[in-house]
Amino acid sequence: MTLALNLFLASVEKRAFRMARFATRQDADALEVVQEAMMKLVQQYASRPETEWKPLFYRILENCLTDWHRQQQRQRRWFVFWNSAKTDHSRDEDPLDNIAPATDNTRWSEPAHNNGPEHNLARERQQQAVLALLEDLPLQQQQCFLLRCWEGLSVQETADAMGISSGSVKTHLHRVRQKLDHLCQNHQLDQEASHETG
Amino acid sequence: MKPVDPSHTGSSNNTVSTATHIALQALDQSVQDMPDDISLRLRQQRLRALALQQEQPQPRRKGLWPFPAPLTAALASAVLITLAFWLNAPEPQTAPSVAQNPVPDQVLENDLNTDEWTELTQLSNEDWDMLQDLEFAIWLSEQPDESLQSDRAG
Repeated sequence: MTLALNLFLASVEKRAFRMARFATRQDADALEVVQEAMMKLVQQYASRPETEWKPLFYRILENCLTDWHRQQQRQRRWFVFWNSAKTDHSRDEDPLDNIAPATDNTRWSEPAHNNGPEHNLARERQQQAVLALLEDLPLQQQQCFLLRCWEGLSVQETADAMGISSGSVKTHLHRVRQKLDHLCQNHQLDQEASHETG
Repeated sequence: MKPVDPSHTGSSNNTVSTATHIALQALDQSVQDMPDDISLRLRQQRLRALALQQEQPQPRRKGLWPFPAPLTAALASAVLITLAFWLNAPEPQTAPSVAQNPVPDQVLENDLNTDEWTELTQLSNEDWDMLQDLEFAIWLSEQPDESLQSDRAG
C-alpha cells in the first residue's frame, strides 16, 4: 500500500506543483498547497482503490487551491491599501491583452527539418508565450484546461474535481482553446508581416 | 485517463490543435525543467506524508454492537426517563381508601346499588367507625332486654 502510494504521489507531485504554481504564482504557496493535498490524500483516502487516487488527489488539490484563493481575498480586503499597488487585475481581464506580441523569431508552425539554435529558440519562445497565456487565464479556465487536457481527466472527473457542471467544463475548455487559437493566429500574422517587411 | 490528444479536441481547424499541442509540450517541458530545489522539496513532502500514514493509528475495529453511539445514547436516555417517571408516578387517590377500608362482608352481602357502594367506598375511617357504632346500637336496641327480665324474675 505504502509503496503504491509512494509511486502514485511521485508520479503526480511535479504536475500538481505546476498546477498550483499557475494558480498561486508563488513557489512557497504552491508547495504548501501540494503538501496539504498529499497529506489529506494519505490520511483520508489511502485505503481507497488505486484507480480512485488520481481524481481524488486532484479534487483535493482544487479544494486546497480554492481555499488558498479565499484566504488571499480575505487578506486583500484587510490590506487593500497595502496591496493596491500589487493587486493583479489581469484575472478579470482578457489575458490576450496582456500577452506581448510575438517577436520575429516566434514560429507557431514547426519548421520542418530544422533542429538548429534558431528553431530551439523559437520553440522556447512559443512555449513561454503559451505558459504566459495559461498563467493569465481565469482560475477556472486554467484549471479546467490543465485537468482535462494535461492530466487527462474525463469531463465528468474534471467537473467533480472542480465542483462545477460538465457543461461549465466544456465551456471553459472552449474558451481556452479560442484564446490559444487567437494567440496562434496573432503570432502567425506577426510572422507573415515580418517576412513581408523583411 | 490519458491526456487529451490535441488532434481530437473538437476544434474546427488545425491551428487550435497545434496551439493546444504546443501548450501541452510547454507544460511537459516546464515539469522536466523544474529546479532541483523544488523537486527535492516535493520529494521531502511526499516522504513526510507517507511517514504520517505509517504513524497514523490503525482504525479501531468495530464491535458487534450494530447501532451507532448517538442512537444508543438516545435510547438509553429515553429508557431511563421512562423508568424514572414510572417509579415516581403518584398512586390514584381513591385506591387507598378502598384498600385501607375494605367494604365489610355484611355490606357486600346486602343488595346495594352502585351509588350506595360508591358512597361507602368514599367513607373515611371515622365514618366507618361511626357507621359500625350505629349498626351496633341498632342491633342492641332490637335485642330483647333479657337482663331486665331476669332481674324481674329474680
